[in-house]
Order: sequence, then structure tokens, then C-alpha cells
Amino acid sequence: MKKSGGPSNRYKMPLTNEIVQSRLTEKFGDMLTGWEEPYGMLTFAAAREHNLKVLNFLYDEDDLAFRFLTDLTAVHYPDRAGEELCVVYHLHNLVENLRVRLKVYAPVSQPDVYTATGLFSAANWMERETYDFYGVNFVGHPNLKRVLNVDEMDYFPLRKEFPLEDQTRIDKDDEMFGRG
Amino acid sequence: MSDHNHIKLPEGSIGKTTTTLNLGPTHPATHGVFQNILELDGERIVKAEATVGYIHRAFEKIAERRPLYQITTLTDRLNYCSSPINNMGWHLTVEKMLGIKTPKRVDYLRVIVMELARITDHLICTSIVGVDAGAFTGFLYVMQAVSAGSNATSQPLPGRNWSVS
Repeated sequence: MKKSGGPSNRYKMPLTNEIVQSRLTEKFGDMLTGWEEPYGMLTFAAAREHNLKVLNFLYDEDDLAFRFLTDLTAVHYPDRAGEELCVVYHLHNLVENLRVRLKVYAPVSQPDVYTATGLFSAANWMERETYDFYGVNFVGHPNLKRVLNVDEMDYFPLRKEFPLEDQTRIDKDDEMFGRG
Repeated sequence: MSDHNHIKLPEGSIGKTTTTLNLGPTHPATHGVFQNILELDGERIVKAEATVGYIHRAFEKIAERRPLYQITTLTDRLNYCSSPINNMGWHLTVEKMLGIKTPKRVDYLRVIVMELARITDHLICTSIVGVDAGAFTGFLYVMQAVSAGSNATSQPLPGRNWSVS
């Protein structure tokens, strides 16, 4: 059985953000929120317990075929109570050269998100990196331990509570660095 | 056997049929600090546990508090062989965000600079593999071409041979 779409003749129209959005809304309805297209890239959010359902759908459907996980990372929004951590998936349809971005929010107090390693082998190290730097707990990951930092590290260094430069230093005047 | 009762072996190490081999962290085939703990079945690797080295430089964290032109010096250092290409990735992003359209001449010049950087990068990467295997001489010959390439890149730019910004 031929699984991959390939440059098929079945689809006369190229895949567009509108088609992807309507296919997703048709399937998931109100489960997907926050639709936007920053700089042309279709972006939307799902509840964290639905991330695998959405990823599977985008992967499996022959007309969507988002089968390349180009990036997986997190963002820390300390001001958003209850959804401080945002896990971001970038998916690419290689045939149609179309990309989508899926966001999943989790509270920093219990940052559990289901692992995508069952679907994408590439998610293995990217989820380890995301855990390493943001502390997202990928439930079901086969080997969730630090990958770039030392194992003994007991904090997640890319969270916003760690300012980069010592704020008390007086020899580094903001004005001298073009940000006064 | 009773003479050796004081020897403590890791659990399961007598019964197992594979061999554990540490490749690195200083093996010449692993350029940089890179360790692999391999499980070998004869000559076949059945499992590998890789430590890729503690080389994260937190550029993204530094960039959180810097204006755009100070971030160029960071993208410069992502890969010292092809710094113009990484700089271009950053500047294209900024231009996209600000809605800036560059003239055709700029695009052509950028492609020329990036191509020179790409060629020198490939030359270095392939010849460094030789250095890791013990062949230093070849690397020196290739370096002449690399030098020519990076000179051609840096001279029209207000920068240096390697980190051009």
C-alpha cells in the first residue's frame, strides 16, 4: 500500500493554509483555538491532552501528510497563569512545501505533555532538549533525561526567572549597550 | 573462584553476551567532546548511549536582552566556518519581521558571500576528518584554498576572516 502522497495528480489545487484549517476544523471543531497566520505560517493551539490526536491527524491524512517534524521547542510565558509553558511543534509537508505550527500550553506547576516519539523519531532528542531547558515533562518518553546540560543540573536554564546578566552590575550601563 | 570474592562486578555483567565499549570522549573519530558508550555484539553495535558534549552557549538566552545588531555577532559564532550564512538567516528573519525589501543587488552580493562561505566550510569539514584520522598534511594544503576563500569573503566586508561581523 502506497502511503506517502507523492506529487499526485489527485489534487489539482496546491495545499494551502485555508485547506489545512478547514480540514482541521472539520475534524476537531472547537478543540483547536488561536488561529493565526504570522508571516504566512498557519498557527493554532490545542489542549495539551489532544496534542497527539492533532499530530496524528496531520501525519496520517494523505492530503495533509505533515510527516516531517522540523522543530519542537518550548516558550516560557511567566505572566500567563496556568499556561506558563508553551510547547511548539513545527511540521512540514515536504511534497507541498507547506509548514504549520501547533502550540500546546501547560502549567509550569505540572508541565506534563504527551510525547510525540511514537510518531516522530526526531522528537526523541528534541523533547529531551525541551525538557533540559524548560522542564517540560514528556509523558511516555523512552529516555527523558538531559541532553546538553550536565545531569546534576537541578534547574531549567531557559525559563524566564533566570535573567542572563547580573541585574545588579553597575559597570554595564544599558545606555552603553544601545538599550538605554 | 573463591579467591576473587572481593571483586565487585556490575550487576548482570557475567551473564550478558554483549561487550561494553567506551568510544571517546577523546577518540579521534569523535571531533570535540563526544562520548559513546556502545554495546557490541561481536562487531555489531546493538546500543549506543551518546553524550554530545556540554557545548550549549545559550545564544538564545543572550539574545533575549540584546538589540538586533548585537545578535549578529552571536549568529556569527554559531559555525565559524560559514558565519555569513548564519548571519544571513538572522538578518532575513529581521527583515521579514520589519517588512524590509532588499534591492536585487544586495541579494546577489549575499548569495556570492554565502557561496564562498559554503565552499570554505565544506573544505574545512572534509579536511578536518583527515586530521582526526591522523592526516594533517592534507589539511594544510586545503587550508590554502580556505584562506583564499575567506579572504575573498572578508575583504569586501568590514570584518575579519572568520567571524565576519
